[in-house]
Amino acid sequence: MPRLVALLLLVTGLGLAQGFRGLALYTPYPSQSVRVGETISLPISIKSFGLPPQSVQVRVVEVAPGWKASLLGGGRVVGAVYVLPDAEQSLSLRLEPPQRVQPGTYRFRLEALGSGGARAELPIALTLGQVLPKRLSLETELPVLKGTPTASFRYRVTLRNESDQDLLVNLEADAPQNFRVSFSTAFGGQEVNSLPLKAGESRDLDVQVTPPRQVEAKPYAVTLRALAGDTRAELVVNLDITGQVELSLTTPEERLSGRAYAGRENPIKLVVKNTGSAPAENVELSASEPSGWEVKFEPDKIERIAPGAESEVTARVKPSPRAVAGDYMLTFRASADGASTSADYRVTVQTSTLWGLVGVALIAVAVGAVGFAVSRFGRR
Amino acid sequence: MRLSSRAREGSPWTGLWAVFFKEMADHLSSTRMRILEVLILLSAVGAVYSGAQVLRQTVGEDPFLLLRVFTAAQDPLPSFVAFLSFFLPLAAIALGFDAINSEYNRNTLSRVLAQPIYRDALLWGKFLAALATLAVILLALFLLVVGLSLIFLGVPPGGEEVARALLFLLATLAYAGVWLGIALVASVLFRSAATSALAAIAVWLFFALFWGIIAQLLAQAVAPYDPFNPESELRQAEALLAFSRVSPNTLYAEAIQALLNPGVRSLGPVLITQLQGALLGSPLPLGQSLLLAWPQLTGLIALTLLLFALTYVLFQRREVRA
Repeated sequence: MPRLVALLLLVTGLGLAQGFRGLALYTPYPSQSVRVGETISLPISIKSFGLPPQSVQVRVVEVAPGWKASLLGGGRVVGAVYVLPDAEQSLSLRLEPPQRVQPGTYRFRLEALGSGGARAELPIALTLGQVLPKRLSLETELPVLKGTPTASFRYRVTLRNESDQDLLVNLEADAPQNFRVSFSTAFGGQEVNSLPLKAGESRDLDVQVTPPRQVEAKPYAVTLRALAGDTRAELVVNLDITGQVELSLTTPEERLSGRAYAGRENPIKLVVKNTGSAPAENVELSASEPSGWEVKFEPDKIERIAPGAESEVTARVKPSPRAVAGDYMLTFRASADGASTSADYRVTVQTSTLWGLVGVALIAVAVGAVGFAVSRFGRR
Repeated sequence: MRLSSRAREGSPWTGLWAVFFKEMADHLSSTRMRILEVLILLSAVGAVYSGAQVLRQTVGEDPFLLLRVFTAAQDPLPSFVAFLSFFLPLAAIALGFDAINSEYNRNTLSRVLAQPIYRDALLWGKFLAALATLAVILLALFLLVVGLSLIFLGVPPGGEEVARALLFLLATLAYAGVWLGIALVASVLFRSAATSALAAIAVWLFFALFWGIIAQLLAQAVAPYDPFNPESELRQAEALLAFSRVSPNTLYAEAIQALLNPGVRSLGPVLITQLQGALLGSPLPLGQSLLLAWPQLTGLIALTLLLFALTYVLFQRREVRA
């Protein structure tokens, strides 16, 4: 018999737990720690289980001394909530502490009264003074990137708000002179320099560091900072800039055209400049010339060109002896390990005037013939 | 008369200018000249007008507009250059075919030579007077064309253009000189003026019409074309060019092609390897164009001189007291 009673109780208990009818009044964290002196706003929800639609009275029945409590719905102070069957309504409870409030635990109690005796209670406890400090953290997985001055230095940085309040975070960076640093939201987002961050939220940022083109090859450090009020997080990222050879090819007067006589060697002065940040070793010179032409370089190899320095080369261009007069395109090339440059040079080929002299000689012979005839056959 | 002496006595220049100016006056006042003048005027106006029309329709901007006026043609009229190469030999022949034989026929040669004038001076004077007349005609024509093209196109010619046009005039004068020389030879050889004119015109026709065909036959005979040997084609082309250059017409055509078209880089066959890397269409400098046309120019001038020498020798060996 007692067993039977116990079984009955158990069954009805199960039934009650599953088929609960009535009101529920709740908030996610009924007991929490807050900072001293700030107004707290708590989300409150009311839900009915299997009740007919009705208006539910909501009141704060117990308030800690000195505190002001008000229930707000849709921005106004409310006293009742209309709840449909199995539906939920949200409110917020605003708790304003008195001035000079002492640390300690304060209790509040909310009550919801529906028609037909449905009722729910919600006790709330606030502990003052035991709050987390404001904290931000900046982290990255790859703090050191290596590359040439023209490479892309992009760091994926995670900014985390490790406090219990929303923050507006300002981003800044300390970089060497002429380095440009830009923050943007991850995955191709906008460029930002301040962003709101909710409590406990983290955000991925892309930090792009652009070094100037003419930068010395050595490691550099960039300090990234996230600031919110008086709290800050710092992260040092490193750029290991390797040198880069960049060549340019031109002539001393920057003029890329000239004359050449067919069948003769014509010297053309060229200037090879290293505009990069690393020394160029073993710069080789070559040319693509029309067939039958000869192009020689003196010297045909430059041992070393320091960054920013230049070196003169003489190209000896010998157009083919059968070259037709007129303009031709030559391409000069300078290449060192990994870098190469080319310059198009327009050559105006002129033919030798030797045949012109032959023509003059021919006329002289003809004049001589006339002269001979005159002296030989001249008579009255 | 000393038969042993081969050396001449006295200067051949005595009385040259008297003959020269008299002949010039004769030429310039003759009916022949009137006919030539009318022909010149008509053809110059026609050629330039049609050329200007073509240029207005087709050419937007050209650094060598004046030279284009010379060479532009619109059917049915030939271009100015084509007209000149056709007309000038005839004009030269018309001025020279009866230079000497008319003196015989009018029995005036003895009278002229009774003056203190050497025979050479007479021949020189006649030759130079005809050449000067042709030069006057050409210059008048040239100025007419430049003036008309200024009116029609309104673009003043540049310095290099004018230089090229003047060189073209020089080449034309040398070409006319060749035909004048041929006419003079004919006028010494033939007593009858009609025969002399016919002979000179026959030579002109031979070079204008038949020499091209003969040159082709000769080239085929000298360098036969072998389909399995591509070089034979080149050899044949070169042989053909060499044979056709015997004709003064070819020499003149090549010379003015090089002078009036700055884009022409070579006369004759060009191998494709020679054009590798070449920027086609860019104009050659004047000196280079002149160098290209130089053999042709000197050839024409030398041919004129040699023909004159031949006339001279023939004339000196003639009996004049007939």
